[in-house]
Amino acid sequence: MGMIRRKLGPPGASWGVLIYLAALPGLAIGAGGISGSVHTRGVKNPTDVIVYVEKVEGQFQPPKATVPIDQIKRTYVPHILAVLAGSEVEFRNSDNDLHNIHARQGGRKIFNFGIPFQHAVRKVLKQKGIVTLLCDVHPEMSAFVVVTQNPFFTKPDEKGNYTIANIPPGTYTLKTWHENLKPETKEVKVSEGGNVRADFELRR
Amino acid sequence: MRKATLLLLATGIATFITILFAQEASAIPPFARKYRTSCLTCHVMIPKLNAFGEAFRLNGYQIPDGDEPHIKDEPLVTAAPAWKQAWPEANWPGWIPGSPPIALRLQIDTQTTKEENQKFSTNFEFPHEVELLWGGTFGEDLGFFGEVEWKQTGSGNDGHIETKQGFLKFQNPLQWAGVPRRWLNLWWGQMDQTYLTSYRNLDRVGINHPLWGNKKPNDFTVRNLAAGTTRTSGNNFRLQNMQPGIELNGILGSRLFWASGVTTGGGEARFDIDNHKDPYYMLRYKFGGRAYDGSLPGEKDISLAPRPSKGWVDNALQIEHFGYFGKQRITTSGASSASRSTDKFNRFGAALRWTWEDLDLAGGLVWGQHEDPWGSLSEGRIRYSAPFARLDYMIYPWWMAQLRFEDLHMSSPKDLRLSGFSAGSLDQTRFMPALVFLIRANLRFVMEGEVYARHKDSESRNLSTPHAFWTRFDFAF
Repeated sequence: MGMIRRKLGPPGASWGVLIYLAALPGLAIGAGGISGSVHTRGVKNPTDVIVYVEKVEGQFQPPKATVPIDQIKRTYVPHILAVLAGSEVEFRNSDNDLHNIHARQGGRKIFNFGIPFQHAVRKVLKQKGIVTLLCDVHPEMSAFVVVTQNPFFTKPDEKGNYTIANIPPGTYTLKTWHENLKPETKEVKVSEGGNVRADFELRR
Repeated sequence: MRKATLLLLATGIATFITILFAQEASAIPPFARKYRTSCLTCHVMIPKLNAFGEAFRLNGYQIPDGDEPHIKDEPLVTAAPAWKQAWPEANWPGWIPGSPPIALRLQIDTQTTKEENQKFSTNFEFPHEVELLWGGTFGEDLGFFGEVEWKQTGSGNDGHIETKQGFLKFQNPLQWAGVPRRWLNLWWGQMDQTYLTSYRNLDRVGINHPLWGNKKPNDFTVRNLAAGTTRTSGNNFRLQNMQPGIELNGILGSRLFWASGVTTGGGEARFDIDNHKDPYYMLRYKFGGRAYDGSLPGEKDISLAPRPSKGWVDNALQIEHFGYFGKQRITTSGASSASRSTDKFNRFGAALRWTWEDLDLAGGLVWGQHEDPWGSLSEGRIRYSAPFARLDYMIYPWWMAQLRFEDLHMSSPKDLRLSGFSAGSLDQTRFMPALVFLIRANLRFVMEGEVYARHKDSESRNLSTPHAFWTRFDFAF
């Protein structure tokens, strides 16, 4: 797992760019899409959900651009994001304060390093699954990275609507993930050029 | 002098809290402040809980179906929820309340009653009681509650301070093992065991305590009229006492509530080192209305949205039952300390409660017996039965009419071994009509009559029946 430490520069890829880049490998003539809505109950961060296709046949190249996650005012920003396995994530510290990145996956620590203020560190997340990010210096901080096998994932908008485009035709398992809600699963059949709808209602 | 010091202390605390929350529009109790919501979200009239308030209580002082989004008074996070992933290498996540979760409650009473000389007299208890309350959560699924009380004790005494409650509610402690949410909770500490919600002591809007929980064997006096001496049972157990205990409880299928626990079993004493703790159980089922988990038939959300003016309406039928099995080492007054004995006793209760629009009607029976409450005085038992009924009717959101009926039978021992003594009786039948006015959401005024159809103890001594009239201002902030 590579690690590059550098002084903080201008921001990297935004969410839109990230999704665009991540979706590129799946682009195909006649590809279909999945759209729908996600409603959550009983949580403070209702749109901090990732909707993703569990498995799609083939190998997918991670984007060349790094995916940023920042520490601002003792808060990870964003609180949740998704990346394709093999993507390079840039961990930033925009505070005038020492932070560290304590990352756990599958019940064990995968890395833990400090970031001086106004610095950034890059790491490649290779293994699919949920990576929990903590800060030992400030226990109130946390974030999550959903590392996926394929680039077909998204985060719903403020109204809870989502779209995943350019998916090759086939039958897939669509999943959701939220830090406090039970994950939901739906089987979807994507046809050539078609759009299939899948709505979710997530509860504790 | 001591009374003056206590009053000064209470005034000081009240002033401190008022100053502490002076930036708020009004100083309000901890839960209302935490969610920035009215007292009437959870109460019909303080302190009587509505169905939502009961679901909140059973859910460990959390809004059912997700507490966090409703919290407006941001807590201080001691560790983010994500730290669960690092346990046991890290502490379990939690928080402490953003503002001190404390409140004051005062009760200001008048009592007009007939003295033994048949004349009416009035007493001002200003205040009757001052309570310091606290409550909240230390993160998800860990609630806490407590109460310290200063109370008038009458007869020229200075009153006394005691810790009435202090407990933790561990909600869903076995969820990690796959036990569904709400099926199993663990409550630990000194608490109101809430044997009957249909006619509960703690959330009554009337002034007088229900007889079913209030009377105890050592209220029972046997007298030697010639010698002018009395003897009482050494057993001071009464159901009304909030006892130190451990309770497991849960909600199955949203409408069946179960509980099973043990109390220290020391009667009014808080310290009772012995090898016997008193077990108890409770079962409750609700047909219709808001279920115990907070859900409503046909509605997906359990919301804390502003309620219609009739927030008390909950069209439902509830049945409940409990059992309590006690054992207490006792010394009967006047008897030799060497003649200690063990009194085994029990209580059972069953009640039905029907709520329909503005009406809340409840009735039931508490019964039981003491096997040896008198020790060397008598082999006799005390048999105990206490039927009751309560009718509440909401005339306006701020005005409730209430009528309570109670009938208590505590049978006399038939074989007193001390010559000259005759058995007393606690049998009594009383009606208690009341009018309750909600002057503000946190301020209640009660007028209550206490009218006896039968009062054996007074009758046997040719004393006037102690009919009484009460008023109470009760407020919390």
